[in-house]
Amino acid sequence: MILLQQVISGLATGCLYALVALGLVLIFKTTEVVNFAQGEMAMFCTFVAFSLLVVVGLPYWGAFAGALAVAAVLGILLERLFIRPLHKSSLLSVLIMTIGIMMVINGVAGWIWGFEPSNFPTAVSGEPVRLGQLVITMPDVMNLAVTCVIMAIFYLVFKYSMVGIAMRAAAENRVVCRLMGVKVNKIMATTWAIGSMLGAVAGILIAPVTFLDLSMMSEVIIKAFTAAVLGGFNSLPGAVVGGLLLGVMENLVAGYISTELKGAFAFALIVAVLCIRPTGLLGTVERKKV
Amino acid sequence: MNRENWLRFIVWAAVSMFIAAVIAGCGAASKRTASGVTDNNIKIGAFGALSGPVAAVGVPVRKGFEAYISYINDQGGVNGRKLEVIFEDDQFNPANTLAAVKKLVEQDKVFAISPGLGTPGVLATLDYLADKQVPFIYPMTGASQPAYPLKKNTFVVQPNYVDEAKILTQYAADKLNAQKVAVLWQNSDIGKQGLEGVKAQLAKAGVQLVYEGAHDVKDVDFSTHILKAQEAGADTVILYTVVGQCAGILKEAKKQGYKAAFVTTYINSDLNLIKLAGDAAEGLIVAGWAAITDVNSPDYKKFMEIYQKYNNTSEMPSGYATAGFIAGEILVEGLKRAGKDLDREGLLKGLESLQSFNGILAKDITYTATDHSGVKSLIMFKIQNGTIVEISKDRFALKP
Repeated sequence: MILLQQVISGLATGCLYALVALGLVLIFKTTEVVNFAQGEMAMFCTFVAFSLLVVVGLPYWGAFAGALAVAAVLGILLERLFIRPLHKSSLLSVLIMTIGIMMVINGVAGWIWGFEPSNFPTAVSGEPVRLGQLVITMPDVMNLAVTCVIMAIFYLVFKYSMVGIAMRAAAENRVVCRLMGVKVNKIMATTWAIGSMLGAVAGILIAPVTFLDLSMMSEVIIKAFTAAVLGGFNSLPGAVVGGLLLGVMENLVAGYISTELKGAFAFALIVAVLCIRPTGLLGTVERKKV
Repeated sequence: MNRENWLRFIVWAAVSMFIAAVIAGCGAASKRTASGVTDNNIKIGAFGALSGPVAAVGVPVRKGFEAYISYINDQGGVNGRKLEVIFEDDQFNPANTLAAVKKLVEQDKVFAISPGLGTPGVLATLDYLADKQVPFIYPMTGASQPAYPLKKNTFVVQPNYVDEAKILTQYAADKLNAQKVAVLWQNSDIGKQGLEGVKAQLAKAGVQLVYEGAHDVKDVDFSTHILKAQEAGADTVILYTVVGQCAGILKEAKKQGYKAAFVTTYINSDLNLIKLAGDAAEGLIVAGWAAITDVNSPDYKKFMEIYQKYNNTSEMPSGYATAGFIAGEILVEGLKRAGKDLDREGLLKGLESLQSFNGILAKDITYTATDHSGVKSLIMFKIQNGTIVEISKDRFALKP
């Protein structure tokens, strides 16, 4: 019984990792940028949602929509102002730029909203579902549902829609894409907007668990990286699988090996995956002609 | 000389000058002077997290401390000298703390350090301040290192986690009918020392430790711990962690319907805990060491008046502000007793003469030449109807 409960709690936590990992992988897949600022962008948008809820007084879903709108704008602005000018530089430069953005957003958020943690409401409330001794809360169910739906949408969009195919093409070869008539700049902006919105969704769902404060995403982003590496950094389903798997494995390590090792486990996993199977579980090997 | 030889000479000369300067500097530092004291001014250094995740503790501490210092300055200062406070922000990062303290001692030449907030920062600078013989008044931590073994320059105020855990365990056995105890502890000094204290008291209290589980500083998932504590049949759970995680644990326990008595350390005696945990915090027993619950007592009203006047606010001071205020009270009392002819030795002797000293908020503070460990008894509070309420006027201490 305890094992099953741990698996279920692990899946619930894993969903949160998966949502952040999805944003990371999406941006990486299309623009080849590893966005270290993903966590802070999510935190910023969650604070915006909180302000909309508490200061402006919007209902929950109104604040949610507002935060998503802000997230989209934030993503587009960041891409246009900081990432696009660097498109001729090495990937390392862009990576460092995202680290810089991460710190700036953190500082600005602290300046605007202060440093005290706050409570954040859950999307759904109600009595937890009890199956015998198992407990599954309504927010857990909601997170799982949201993750599955988003994953399904992205998978279909990437595989079958024009926008999705354009995104994949832009990742492969921008010049040829432009020659083919694809507005690559618009694709880049769209990708960052969607990636940012994904982060906002993740942040809003995570905040009730971690409490809303400046460092709420700092631990989650590392687990999200682990999840993305585990699942394959260029695979969207991989990000979800990686997240869920990490959540469950963490709980099992805590339960059966040692609670003190739980934190270190994610890091050990990154090292192990990169040594044994660098492309992750579902990722594909990319071969580039230099 | 040709160019290469010339370059070599320059480098050699520069290195020798550098070494000479370092030796001269070391020599100068070992001279004992009444640094930080002029005829009308005393410089006091302090450190704490004024930004970053722990700023919620650091900022109120500073407000409480500086309010009292401003109050004293308005009354003419201490023995004709005004107090100047330099409060450094270390962001709860011990590397920053060491740099900040060195700057305070060597560049700003402060007379004493009071207070110093945060276990990591305190532990990083404790030995340095002891070596330099800089008075360190009120290291704000529950870690036991500042108190034991005795350091001549360090004066502790709040009880340390080991002693507190022993008192909590005894209290649980005596007043809560605890028989099977579980400890959920943070993987840090707070948790480790708390667990140590509980384990040390088990035999005397006659309780059994049926489960103990660690969580990391940033952990948010406590389902495993609650499950295992429940499985082990614990009727009392002692939490040795910080406010955010305490709230997370209580929420998880409520979610799983786990009915046990929850007891936690005085560092969680904060309204923020109720704000974060909501009604999952109902019934939680929290220790406390400063008698600050009766908001209608004349002492508390005086404190609030000083706090609100010098911070230009009408907000209620938090528990952390009271700690800062008490630091100010003890520092000023020590300075008063050291007299007009002020030096560091005088401050230390002045503090050691405190016997059951009662200030506005500081109560029953005693130091001797062999004991700088501060308050050794606790008051127990309970969270009821969304506020922190005193259970009784008794103070609980360890029977020898």
